[in-house]
Amino acid sequence: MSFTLTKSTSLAAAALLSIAFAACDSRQNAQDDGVESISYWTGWTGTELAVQQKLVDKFERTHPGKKVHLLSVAGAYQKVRIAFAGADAPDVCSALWPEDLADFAAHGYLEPLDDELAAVGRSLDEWFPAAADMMTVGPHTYGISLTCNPFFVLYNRDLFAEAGLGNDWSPENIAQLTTAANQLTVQADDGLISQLGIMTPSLVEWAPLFGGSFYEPMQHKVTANHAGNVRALRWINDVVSSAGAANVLAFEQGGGNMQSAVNPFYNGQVAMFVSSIWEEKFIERYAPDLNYGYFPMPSLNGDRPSAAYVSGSVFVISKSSQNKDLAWEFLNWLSSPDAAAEFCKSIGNMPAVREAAEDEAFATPLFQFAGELLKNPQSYTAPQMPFWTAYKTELTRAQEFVLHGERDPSTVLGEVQTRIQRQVDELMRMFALQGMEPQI
Amino acid sequence: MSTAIQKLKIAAPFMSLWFIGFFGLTLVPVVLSAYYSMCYFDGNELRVWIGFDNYRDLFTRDPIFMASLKNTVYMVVIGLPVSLAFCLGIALLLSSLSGKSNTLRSIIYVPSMMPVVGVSILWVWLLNTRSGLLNQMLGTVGIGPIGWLSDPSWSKPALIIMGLWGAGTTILIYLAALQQVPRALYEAAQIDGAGTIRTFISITIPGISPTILFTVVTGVIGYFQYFSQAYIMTNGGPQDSTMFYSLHLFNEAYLNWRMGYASAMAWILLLITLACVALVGYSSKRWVHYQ
Repeated sequence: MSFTLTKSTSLAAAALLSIAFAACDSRQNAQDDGVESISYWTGWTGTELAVQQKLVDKFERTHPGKKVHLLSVAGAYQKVRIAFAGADAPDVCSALWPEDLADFAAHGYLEPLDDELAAVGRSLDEWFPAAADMMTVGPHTYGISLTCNPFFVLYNRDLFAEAGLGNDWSPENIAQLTTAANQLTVQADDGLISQLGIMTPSLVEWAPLFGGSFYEPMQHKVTANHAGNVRALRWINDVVSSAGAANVLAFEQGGGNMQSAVNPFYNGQVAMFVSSIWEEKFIERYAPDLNYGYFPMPSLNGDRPSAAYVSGSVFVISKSSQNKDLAWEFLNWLSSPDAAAEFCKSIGNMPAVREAAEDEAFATPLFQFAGELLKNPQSYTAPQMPFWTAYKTELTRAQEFVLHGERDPSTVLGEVQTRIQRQVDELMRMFALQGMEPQI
Repeated sequence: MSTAIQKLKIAAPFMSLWFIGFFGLTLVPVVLSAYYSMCYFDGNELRVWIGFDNYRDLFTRDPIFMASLKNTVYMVVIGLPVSLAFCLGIALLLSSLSGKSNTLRSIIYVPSMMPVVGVSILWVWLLNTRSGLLNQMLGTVGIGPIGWLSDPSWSKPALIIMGLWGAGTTILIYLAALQQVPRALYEAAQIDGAGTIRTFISITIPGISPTILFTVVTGVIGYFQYFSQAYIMTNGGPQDSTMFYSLHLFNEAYLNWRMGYASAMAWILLLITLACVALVGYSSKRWVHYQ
């Protein structure tokens, strides 16, 4: 038996292969059966994802002929980076941190949204100032924020009362906070901690309260070894070392997801814990009997009262999107006051849009407190700069080395400064060599 | 037209899929990565030729590169021998239980079928300093608590211990090899009065030496690519003690968008791995015996 490959057979095989490869496109943004569709990746999961799905369903109902393919990539933000690098990104994505915006924008992965905002008559004034900061990189708006959450200190009222600090307590400065943290830490003779005063503070969150800063955007200057940052790192080291760094790190090591029943603050094993407004929902779910209060993160000398580190969510449209119009239509609808309020009240987050925050659901004392923090012009976000992820990783490493007694804060932050500045300088030099204008 | 050409015409479409796969998905990316290693490349539009700067920077300006290389070499030099010795020990045990070890074999093999992500998360709990099962067991005999994943001096040993748990495949390979050693050799040794250790050194080890070579070569390659467990469990910490080469490479590529730099790292890793495998291959002439 012989077999001869005819032209038609070859063509059929080629067509079959093409169809197979086309089917592998993860973006699913083709026009199927006259339905216009986009893909949307989110970092939320669980309840938050269910609420997102409800909003997507509502969008599809109110926009006939339009479809949004929602995919949760919770815990897999690397997948997002790889997708963007491989030009296979979704049309809309909320699975990136606000502080990653500049990094993505600098490399040309994001669609600027300035014209789209102007076209629908919207401006950044609609958002809280900190949220607007999270959405913009240099002169351009690259993201749309839905949630905007100020960080503050939650404390266990019962533990404070037991320690004689009263159950309605708020420090005026860092010294008072440190004293309370030391007083509330309980250790056995062998150093083993059974109750921790405060979870190890993060340099990124606290440094501005010591007068520190990480970046000067106009000069593209890294300021890791800013005197304020060094002061903050020394303080973190003092707080942790007073109970023995090894004991504290052992206490904190590997508990799993902090928004779950194993969070030691929920279990009454930690007296103070820096987090944000979503904790109300989680405490309600996992530790309904917890008697807790909250106060603003104090500054070194009490000169920045009610200032807060602010983070939240940003939604972006990828440069590789095949349907930018629908992507923007979806984002514009999602960030409308009604949709934003519906999302935020379901998940216990603070809306980034001011009008949405006026909804009566946000009239509770905790939301009012968070609103005050957001209105404070001294509240701050992470810097918008390229290499922030690497920078933040380096700062965390620096903190680790200091806490293990291996390095001095000033020296180690100087090393971080050198390494990150070199990367930023190199990137700017490469943009210049290629004749490209960095979009930051 | 000759018969050979006719046959080739028929065979070509069938072979084409492999050729497309090999050229498109293997050869072209390999060649491109060599080119990118000489560029500043962000994975998108920014691509500038910089010659050997990436290679120079790796050795002169990147302390994490040297730390990651040391950590990876530690795993190859310490982790691999420990793992292979453990596997061989268990295989000998199973071999000595001939006919009674089927259930035991299955039990030992089961962990190696479990996905690495699930296993890694499970071990984060088992190795927890305060409440981990391992520390609780050690505590009953007055040892610890050990900061398995929070103390830089214990983090790599912790990963090695975890690796032993999932070494079922290697154990089965050794078990199969042990069963191939001719019984006559053991009987001859017994008649000559050889003891257990002498028999092990002079009969068992040479008898399974081709299998040892195989596991060493695949082990060297595997440990140089060590990634998933460290990525999931420690993300390189504490203090870079589990920052392995592949993890650093991944971070440079996908956290820092430095694809060119990561490509240079990949080529150095290839050269180091090739050199080590060549060394093992060369030395094998002295210690591997084929029947």
